[in-house]
Amino acid sequence: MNRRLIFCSICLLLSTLLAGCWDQVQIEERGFVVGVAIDKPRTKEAEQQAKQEAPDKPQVKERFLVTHQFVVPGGLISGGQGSGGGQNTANEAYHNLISEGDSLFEISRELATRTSRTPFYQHMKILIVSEDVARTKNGLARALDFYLRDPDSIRSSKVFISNGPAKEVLEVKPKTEKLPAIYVNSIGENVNKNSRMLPEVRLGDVHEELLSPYSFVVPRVRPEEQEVKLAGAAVFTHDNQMIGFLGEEETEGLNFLTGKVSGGMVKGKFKNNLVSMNIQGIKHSIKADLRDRQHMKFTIEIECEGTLAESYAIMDSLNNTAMEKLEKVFAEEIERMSNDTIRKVHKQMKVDVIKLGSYLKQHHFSLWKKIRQDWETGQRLYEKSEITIQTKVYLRNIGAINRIERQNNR
Amino acid sequence: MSAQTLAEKMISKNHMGINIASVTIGVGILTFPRSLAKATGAFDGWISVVISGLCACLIGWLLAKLAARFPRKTFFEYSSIIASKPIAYILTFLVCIYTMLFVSFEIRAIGNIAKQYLFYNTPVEMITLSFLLIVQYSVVGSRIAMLRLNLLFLPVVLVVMFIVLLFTTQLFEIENIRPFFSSDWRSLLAGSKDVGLSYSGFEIILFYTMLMKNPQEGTRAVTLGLSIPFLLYMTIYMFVIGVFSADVATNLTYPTIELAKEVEIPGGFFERVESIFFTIWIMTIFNTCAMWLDITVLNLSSMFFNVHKTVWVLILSPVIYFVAMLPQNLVDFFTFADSVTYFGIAVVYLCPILLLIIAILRGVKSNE
Repeated sequence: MNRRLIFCSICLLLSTLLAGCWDQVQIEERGFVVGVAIDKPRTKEAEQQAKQEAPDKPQVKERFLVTHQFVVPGGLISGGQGSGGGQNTANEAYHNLISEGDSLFEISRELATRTSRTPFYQHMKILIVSEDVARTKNGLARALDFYLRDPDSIRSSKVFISNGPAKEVLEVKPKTEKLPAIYVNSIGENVNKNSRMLPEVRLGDVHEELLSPYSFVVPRVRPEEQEVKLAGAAVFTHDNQMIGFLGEEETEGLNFLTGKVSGGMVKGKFKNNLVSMNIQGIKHSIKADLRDRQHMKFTIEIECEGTLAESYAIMDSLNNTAMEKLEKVFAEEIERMSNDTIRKVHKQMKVDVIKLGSYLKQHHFSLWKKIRQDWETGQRLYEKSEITIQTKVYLRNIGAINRIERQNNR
Repeated sequence: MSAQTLAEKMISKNHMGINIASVTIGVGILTFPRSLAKATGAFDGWISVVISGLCACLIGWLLAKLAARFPRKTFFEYSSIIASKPIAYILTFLVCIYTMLFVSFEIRAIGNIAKQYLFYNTPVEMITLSFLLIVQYSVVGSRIAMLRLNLLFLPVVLVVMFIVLLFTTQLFEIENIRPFFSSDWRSLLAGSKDVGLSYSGFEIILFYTMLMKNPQEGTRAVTLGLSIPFLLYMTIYMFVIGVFSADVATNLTYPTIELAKEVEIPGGFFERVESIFFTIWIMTIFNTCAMWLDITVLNLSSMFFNVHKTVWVLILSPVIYFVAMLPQNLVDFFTFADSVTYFGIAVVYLCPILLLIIAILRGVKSNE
């Protein structure tokens, strides 16, 4: 009897332990952050206010204006106009909170004073850094340190550089999606339809690039009223400072040069009429002539495969010579685009975003060890090198029809 | 035979191999890609994994030979036959300190990592304590039953690891792993030393051979037991470098966890694979801890056989817990880990090999 009493009391005592959970967070209390936009503050107002409040506080030069996009689950219910969550009259599925400060962590914690649901970053889809922040020295690295260091965030969020204020990207009102962040994220997955956008760059990839000695590119996003345009690329030098943008066509050329085209189109002019090709695959290889170190010669060979998508030229496309001529037209166009890109990144910007340095490291390591310091800096061997392009197009198919009109119609 | 109870049953060669694999896979699996990438700076670190794997195999083979000379004898008994009673007392006592420190290290690692990634508000002390209590519970019970858990857990661990690695293949970039063979032999050797620390654990063959049906098979058990972590380390290192590149791997605190965090299962219906990864990792640490604590108790009871096992567990636990709480921060903790392993190299590798040499020279064999 006595034993049973002891047993019962132990059980009762132990059950009190069950109630103690330090880390209990109800799912309703989590604020799921899907997107973050990092800007430079427009005005000095908040900075001066902070200075007045605490004049002795250590001052840092950079200040950030950060927009967090939270999901409002009630707004996600479709069709529930008014009925799904009475508090949400606008029936919006997201909520943007803007805050300013000199540390990203401070800003994240500052939100705790303003929202009932504290930020939870494990479902963050996109991270947008504005051009202004990226253009400052070490700006990108400083803006991203918190998101990489925090064990609570994920390395697979997509990173974009915005042309203009980053917060406007999270403020667009897309018609097709409920959440602007998800909308931008989905656009980023359309790379196999259009070669004018860069393949996705994830937070982890940016970390890799920040640590690597090479220049790199990050996709550009441009906010507009109802939508965003995701094309072009922001160019960063080897010391991780942004120096400019590549336009849409230049980005396409860059994708050809690095072999990262997974789909898209090329236009060409055939007998003064427009023809276009749907790209279905590309093979890319580099040949290097490294005998003269001061004047290295690189030949980038691009082999592209596709089908005829549109033809304003009336011709017998089933004819072998016509096919060959078309192939040549497209090859010339790819060459032109690539050469335009080379002119910009090689001659004007002088950044090795074609990743020739990476090629040398991978295939000519003993040479690379010697010239590593003199590639983009020092003797600037990259600038002194020569890059040529050879393209070959294989047109595999002409589509469902041969001609659209009778030939003698024109 | 059929009347034998579970507690009286002996373990087979394969079971011993699984035990060795389970005890070897521990905390090191999370951190070794970082130290290896730092030492070699390239994909070539896999050569270091091979070198240190071979070294571990050789040492393990010697230790198994030593233990096989004395079937059904505890470590204390055979070392007192070879050397002498006083030396055996000192050596066994040092071994006990080593294995005990190892338990401290493992439970603190659980505390640290669980705090960093899973329980933000729970104190490390509490996480560590609750884990220690579970380990105690498993050790107080039947030894064979505790070892059986390895058979249960290891396949699950390997399958989940395989799935995690499978989904990272889409992030694998070939330019991260080239150039091949770019590191010099000096950095490869330095790397081997770093990975070597993650192979420690196979020394349990010294103590568990007495439970084996056929102690002569110990050498093969070591080979089997080391080949599993060897293959695992090899693939994990290759994937870590392929996904992150050596530069990034050097700058990640726990590269293997980050690897699990990078995984994105297509379709988006299941995110955060690292949660499963943590589950199975905690299972492996549990096995490792339980075996180390059991060996401590085993050695202590071989010296003082009139004290009950439960008493030893209860005496040891506060000490283990106290030692586990000593490192003040992450850097302290990693230094602590390294010094435990270096101490182990002297106590459980060098001394037993010395014992083997003496035994061969003097022709000492069990008088069975």
